Amino acid sequence: MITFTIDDKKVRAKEGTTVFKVALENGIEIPHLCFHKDMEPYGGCRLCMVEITENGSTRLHPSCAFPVKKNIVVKTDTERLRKGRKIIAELLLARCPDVDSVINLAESLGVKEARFKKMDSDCVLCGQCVRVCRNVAQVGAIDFINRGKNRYVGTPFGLPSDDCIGCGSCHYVCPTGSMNMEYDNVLRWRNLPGTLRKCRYMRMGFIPHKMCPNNYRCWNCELDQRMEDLAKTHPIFILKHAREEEKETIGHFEIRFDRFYHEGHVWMKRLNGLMRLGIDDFARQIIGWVDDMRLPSVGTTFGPGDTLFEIFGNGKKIQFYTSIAGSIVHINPDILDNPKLASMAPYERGWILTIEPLDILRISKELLSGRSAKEWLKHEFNEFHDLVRQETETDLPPEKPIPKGFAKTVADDTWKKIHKSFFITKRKKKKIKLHRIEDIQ
Amino acid sequence: MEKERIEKIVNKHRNEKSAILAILHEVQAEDNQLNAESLKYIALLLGVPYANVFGLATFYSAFNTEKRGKTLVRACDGISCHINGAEEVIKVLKSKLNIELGETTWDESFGLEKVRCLGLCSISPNVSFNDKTYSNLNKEKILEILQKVTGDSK
Amino acid sequence: MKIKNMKDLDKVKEIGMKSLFPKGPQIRISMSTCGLALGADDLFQKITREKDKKGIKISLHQTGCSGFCNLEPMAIVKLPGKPALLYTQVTVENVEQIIRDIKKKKIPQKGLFCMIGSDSAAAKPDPVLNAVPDYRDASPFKGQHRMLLGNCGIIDPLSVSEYVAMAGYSGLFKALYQMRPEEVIKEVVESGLRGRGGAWFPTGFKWDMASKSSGDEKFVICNADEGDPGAYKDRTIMEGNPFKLFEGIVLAGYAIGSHHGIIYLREEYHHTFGFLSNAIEIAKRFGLLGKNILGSGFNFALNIVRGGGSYVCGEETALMDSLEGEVGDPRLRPPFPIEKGLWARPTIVNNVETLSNVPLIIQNGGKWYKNIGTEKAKGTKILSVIGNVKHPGLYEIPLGTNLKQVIFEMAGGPVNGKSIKAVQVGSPFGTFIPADKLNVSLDPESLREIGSMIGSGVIVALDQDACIVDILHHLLTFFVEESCGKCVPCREGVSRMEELMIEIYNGRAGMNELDIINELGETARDFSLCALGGGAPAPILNGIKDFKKDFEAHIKTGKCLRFS
Repeated sequence: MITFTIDDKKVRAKEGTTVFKVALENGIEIPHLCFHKDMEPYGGCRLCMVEITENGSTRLHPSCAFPVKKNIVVKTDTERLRKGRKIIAELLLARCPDVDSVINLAESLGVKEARFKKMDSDCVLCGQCVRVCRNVAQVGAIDFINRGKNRYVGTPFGLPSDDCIGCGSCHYVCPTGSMNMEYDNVLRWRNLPGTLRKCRYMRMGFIPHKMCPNNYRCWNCELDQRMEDLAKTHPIFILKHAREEEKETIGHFEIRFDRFYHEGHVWMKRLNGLMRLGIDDFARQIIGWVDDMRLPSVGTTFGPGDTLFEIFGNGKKIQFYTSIAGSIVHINPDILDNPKLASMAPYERGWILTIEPLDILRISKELLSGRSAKEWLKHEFNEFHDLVRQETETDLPPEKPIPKGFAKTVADDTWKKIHKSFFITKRKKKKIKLHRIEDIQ
Repeated sequence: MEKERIEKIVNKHRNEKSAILAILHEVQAEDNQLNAESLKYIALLLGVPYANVFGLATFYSAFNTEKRGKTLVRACDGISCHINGAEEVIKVLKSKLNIELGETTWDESFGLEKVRCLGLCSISPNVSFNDKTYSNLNKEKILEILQKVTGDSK
Repeated sequence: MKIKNMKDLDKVKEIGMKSLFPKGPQIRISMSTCGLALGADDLFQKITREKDKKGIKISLHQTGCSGFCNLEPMAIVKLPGKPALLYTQVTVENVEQIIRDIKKKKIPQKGLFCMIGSDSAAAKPDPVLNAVPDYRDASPFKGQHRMLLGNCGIIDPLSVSEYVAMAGYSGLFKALYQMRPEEVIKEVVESGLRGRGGAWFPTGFKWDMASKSSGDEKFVICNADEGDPGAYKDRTIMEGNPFKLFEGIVLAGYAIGSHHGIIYLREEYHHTFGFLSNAIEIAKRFGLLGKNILGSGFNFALNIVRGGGSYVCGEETALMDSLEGEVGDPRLRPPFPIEKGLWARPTIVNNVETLSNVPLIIQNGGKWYKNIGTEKAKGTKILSVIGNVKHPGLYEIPLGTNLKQVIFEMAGGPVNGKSIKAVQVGSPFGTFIPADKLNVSLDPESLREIGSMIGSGVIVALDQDACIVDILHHLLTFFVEESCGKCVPCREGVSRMEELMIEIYNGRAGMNELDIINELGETARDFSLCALGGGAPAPILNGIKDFKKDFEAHIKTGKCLRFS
């Protein structure tokens, strides 16, 4: 907890919270437009600007994004702020002269009439719809188009979007009521043939399987109405929290549900006919960090059971095999520059190879995903802790990630056992040629 | 543009989202445009939303979602060119090509654009025709160049 | 060959000296963007053909831009035993005469501008050259302090050996073999170097914080998105002496513990893109980039990324968004790039000119660098003087040089006997300084006192025929076109300022509208998200205050002074 001053009042707050939130908790409401409590701050409307004095110098900052610090002095309502907010409100009013929420906002800031040429937009470009669609619904059917004063929110070429799932979250968050993607898309779906008439809650991922029996009259649908009533907010925000929890940790190992896994602790992701792969969190935590690798060259073909690559770290080595056949298409250039990436961001920029599988249709049979992956990792977690207990006669705390230097402290014999039981369980004798990083470049 | 060509370009950049500007540059260089099909396919190959790719293509002024002219005429209107009479030059270009800024001639042979500074400020005004830049221009000179260039392209 | 130790470096140096001071005759032609625009490629071909026809051996080289594009195409002719001679505005028609003269071992006279290195030991005095000034005494080079531009336009930009012969890579060699990263930072801190992109943030301080920031991976970004209209200093450095820039980038990487650098180049520089990509390949071949640089074991990869034609991407956070493949909207700060930059890793973003200063600092020491400039602002600054002056071009001056001197003495003052009306220092965000206040020292502090800024060094001189309303209108259109559209004060506010300015320009508005512009300007300045919206109002507000007459003319008569 830290203390600082807000409008001449000393307040206490948790470090890392924003000025906006602390102000609200203390009964000070700062005008705002683009801020939404369930989303990351955007800082575009500039209405929530406050004066912050830090180390003797006073500057304006957006309160929605500024993290509170010790001993700062915040002023939320000074002459300068009032004047600026008034101008901003006037600009918005000139842009959207017929939108009730903007008229109200302007009025609350003391603006009745704008002195500029009136436009007839109904969008203030707060970006809430774009953000909810991209980050919360994880769809990205709409985006900002053009730049500067020509910017607007829409779909590519203004055509109805095939990506839209009709969740209606854009309409829900829109402060001016200009977004209407939900209705447009629902109307389009009415023309779909029977088998494609998925319920929008199925599209959102709430229910595994449900076809619409109602001809997409969602506003008369019992399920639809119940969802909204239960959630007391747009269901998509419930989903957001659920998804965050679902990026699950099994014990202390992170698992991603958009990936395939195989028993040698390699994740794979489909990429339009290709597969991208890297090491999983289990491997990463056990090795601690990666400082070198041996990789196959581009074009190498391999079969199930071949050792695909090796990583080195903490003076130890792990070999990774492949359970499918294919050939190497790309090597991550970033990993060649910096092998550590594999241990820093194993699921994203630390990917290692892209391969072209021989038979992409077999993949879902050969690899683990979803529930099977979860169960497998749970099993590995228990096995690992048992093995460590047996070998070293000490317990690793089951709730905390493995310490980074773990591999270094482990005796070579133990390491061999770990390696044998978790990494090359199924390896055949054949080994494809691997190269040092220097040689690949 | 054929899907194989796009695939080849995207593959060259290892299907990385961060290389999207380079990908768009290369696709546009080959096809002279970024049409709906290309953008959609790029989005698919990179695993990002189509709207996101379209947003990028419209945000950056170097990209065009409509067919561009074979010869892209970029008239500089930086401050130095402005002081030294870029307006006149642009006026001539507009009237001779019979198009406005941002448009393409009917036979798709010329596109006209305004740029802010080509970095040749002490020999302004400047106009570039694709990769060839002409400097120290005035009304007469640009007329002469236009005559030469349109003669060549016919 | 890969340079792996001092011996290799000396060997390369020797090759470079031989190519700079050859035994036989040599011609160098400036082939950068500006040279090519004025016909350097035709010239090059003509010389190749002509020398083959005449059957004489002349070594032909390319050089970069020297900063004075209006003197292009330039050629340097070096005859054995004579100093190198610089010829300006060489035309295809001159070529035959030049080749004939060279064959007769005579000095070609037409277009002879100055001598380069007349004091070098190899050169014998020649009576023909008595009246020819040296490079350092010939206007517009006179009075400059060309540390960064010195080699531009003289050495072959794609020749590592020539750069090494000009003491290149001695700084990096010293750093990698004799200095710890902290010591490199210490030198830079001591030098007092500050960011030359316009913000003037202390470079050493930035590096120090980035080096202390935790993160297994760090990035060095070289900001070559030279978007300020009127600026072309970065292009000149990149096309004239790219290895100096690379050396600076690697030094920055070594100092903060980064192994990955990116040059973000603006889209409009087509020629520069191909050129730099070439230069990177060459540097890799010599072991100056990539793995095991100079045999020291230090690795550093350098990539070059082309922008998409957006001015706001020159803002460091927007630039990083652009590198990540997103729309170039500026990010909120904090967190700052030195903590969470590209891919949320510690990142430093430095301008081309800033990074090019670093090799000199390491080579000669921070103490040496500190002696150049004023008490608070150290080093030189490359100014891009454009507009209504006799010699528009790049002037590298020690900070603290008088503005009046730059405009009237170095750049030759106004053309055709006209008088200077105003000078905008630090365009496009700098303010217009009226003619009677030009007696000011060019350094950030002195300029701040009079409410202006040095910015990235663009100096626009306007003569009596210019109209401030016209120029402000032009600037506002630029700002509106280049606004990203994320925040309201810039997107709505500045575009409304433009709208009102057009009304004033056409004589359809009065003093009342000027007041509204003032109000909008103040809001945009204080409330905008990034420096584009925050900086845009300064020249407008100041122009309205200082040049009332121009506005009155527009408001009362609807006529622009520019065309009267």
